[in-house]
This record gives sequence, C-alpha cells and structure tokens, in this order.
Amino acid sequence: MRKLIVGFTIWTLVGSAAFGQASFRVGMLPGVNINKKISGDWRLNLRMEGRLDLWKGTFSSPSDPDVRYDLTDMALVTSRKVGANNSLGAGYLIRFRGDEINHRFIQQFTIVTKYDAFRLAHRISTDQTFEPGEPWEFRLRYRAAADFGLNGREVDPGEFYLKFNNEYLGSIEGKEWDLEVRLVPVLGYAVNDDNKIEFGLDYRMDSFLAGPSHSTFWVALNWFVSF
Amino acid sequence: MNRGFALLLSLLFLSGGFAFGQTKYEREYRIREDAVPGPALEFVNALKLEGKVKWYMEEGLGQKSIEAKAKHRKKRYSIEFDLSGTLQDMEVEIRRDEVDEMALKHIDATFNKDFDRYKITKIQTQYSGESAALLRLAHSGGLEEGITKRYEIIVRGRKEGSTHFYEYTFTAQGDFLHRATIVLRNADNLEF
Repeated sequence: MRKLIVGFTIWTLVGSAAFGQASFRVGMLPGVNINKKISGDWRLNLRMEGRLDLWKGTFSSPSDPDVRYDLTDMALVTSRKVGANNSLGAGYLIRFRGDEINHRFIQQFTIVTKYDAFRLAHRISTDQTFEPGEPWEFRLRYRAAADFGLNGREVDPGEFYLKFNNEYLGSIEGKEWDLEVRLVPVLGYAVNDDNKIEFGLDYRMDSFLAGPSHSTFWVALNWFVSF
Repeated sequence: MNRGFALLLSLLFLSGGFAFGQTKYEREYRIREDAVPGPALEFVNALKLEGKVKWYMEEGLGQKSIEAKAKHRKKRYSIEFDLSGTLQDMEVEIRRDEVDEMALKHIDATFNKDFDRYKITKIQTQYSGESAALLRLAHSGGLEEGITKRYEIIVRGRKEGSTHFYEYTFTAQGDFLHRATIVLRNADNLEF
C-alpha cells in the first residue's frame, strides 16, 4: 500500500511539474449506477453522472476557485454474460453540456476473477463520440479494477472496502491523438451485495505526450444499486 | 446549480440513508487470536504451521463457525471449528496430479457426463475425524482408520451454452457425493 501511494505521488508530481505550464482542474463527479437483470444472462446498466467544476488553472498560476456546473452524462449499456465470469456489452451515452449535445456508442468486454483475498476485473472497451460540426472521436480503453474487503477475504454486507481502478485511454479525433491515464482509489461501503456506495479520488492525466500535461482531480461519489 | 446535478446529489444522499438501514444477513470477518476458543487454538498450534495463521468468523443463516487459514509447505490449509472450538474438518489445497489416479478417473467421468466443457479451478482434500488422528496425519501424512477423506473441487463447467462455477464433493475413491452451484458476488461496481 505504501509503495502504491508513493508511486502515485511521484507519478502525479512528475507528470504535473515536468511542464511549467501543466494545467489542472478540480471538481466533483457524483454518479448513480442502476443495474437490472432483464432475463437469463442479459442485464441493463443505467448510469447518470454529473460534473461540477470547482477550480482550474495552471500549476504555476492557479486562478481563483470558480464553481460552475459542467455537464450531465446518461448512459445505457446492455450486457450479456458470455462465460462464468465474463460479459459483452454495448450501449449509448448522451452528454448534455450547456446547449451542446454529444452522442457516444460504447462496446465493452469484461472479465472478473475472484482471488483468495480480492477480486480483479479487466475491462476492454471501445467508443465512438459524435458531436455536430466536429470529427468523430474514437477511443480504445483498458481498465484494471480491484476491490479488497477491509475485514475479511471478500466484501460482505455491512463491510467497508477499498477499490482501485487504473485505466488507459487512447483516442483519435481527426488527425489528433492522445493518451489519458486514470487512477481511481476509492473507499466503498457495501450495504449488501446489490447496494454499494463509493467515495474517493478520480485522478486523470492527458495531453502529456505532446506538451504540457493536463491533470484533473475529481472527487468521486458513486452509488451502485442492482435489483 | 444545475437541477440535474442537484438531483444526483440528493439521490446519493438518499442512497446513504437507505443504505445504512438495511439488514445484514451473511458475512465473514477477521477475528483476533484471543477471541478463538482454546481447543481450536491448541489444535492449530499443535499443527506447527509455517505461515501466519489468520482467523475468521463465518456467519450464515443461523450458523456460525470459526476458520483458521494458513500456508504450510507451500500448501493452503483451512481448518474449520464450531464455536466451542471442536474441529469440524481440515482442508488442504492440492494439485490435480496429487489426486489419487483411480479417483481422478471417476471424477473426470462425472464432469464429462455433466458438462460439454469444463475446467477444474481448485482442488482441496477434506479430512474429518478425531483431532488427535488429524494431527498425526498432518505430521506423518498417514491416513488412519477413522479419518474420512473427501475431495472438494471447484469447476467451471459449460452445458448447453451456459457456463457456471460449481462446487463438487467426492469420496476418496472419486464417487460423487454432492454438487452446488456457486453464486458469484455482484461485480457491477467493477464492471461499470
């Protein structure tokens, strides 16, 4: 754990400080994730997420905090279990940002493996974003996520847990391409197997390949409920 | 502030209130060594396990048990007791090539009959009987009369297009005793 924290700190500092003009953004990212088993191996996932900007600027000259509502995402993904512990999914996301509306098509494959003291999930996904007047954006994503019960070998009802996500997103839009890296350490509480709340940091860094990096520090608050 | 955002935040806070009012029905948690009943502690100490012993309380529907887990000579040991510290069974994780050859033939025959395709993911030998006899077994490896030996096997099996994990129990000779489907925990928070 100590190595992870030290590594994360060094990575953040190097990523941010290597370029004098590296920019940052701080905000809140609350989301609700509703899952419904439709029939047999089919499931539906509805995700609603908002973004609230609190502060932005460059590390060398931060501006004053400026609270501003940024956007709302709504996504619907249907998935089918294709193995004992893996599933294929496809869906659509709509993004409302002021008067702009973006559309995104999503495809994903996930595999979740249970180890003695933790679970590890791999997710490979692709998406295509369409915005009127702009070229399409194509992304290829890989995410590893693990959760650990804080009192026992698995996350039981009434137990707190830690979850770590690490995701890599390659994107291309017109002739421009980029890589984004995300690190998301959160503390979760499992009310029961179908009802979990998570709170933590969602750190994202992009644009670091071709110039000053851009870092985003979201305060993430998520509710996962299934029925 | 945008109405949608306010609604999201309200939902999250409501979820918190709803969340903390629910009933707990099944759990497993670490316990300290000083909370372990004497006979259980004595048995595990007498085993002289190499690795650190971790103790757990398992609470099910009206049932509670205590479990000790440790690694010993590169094998995972799991020893279960009731609340008074009476030994229930001792499980040792083994490799496929450590299963008795004839028993393995019977076990594979059962899986071939039950599934179109399968993969064994975990094998444990389960011993039950007098604690003194199990201690001698752990030290010398000899299977005495009065000790019941079984195989507990986790298998991923595919049948008619549907794949699940199952827990099978077989006798020492590989005869089928019991099968249960393993219900995997909800992983929505890892998948989405």
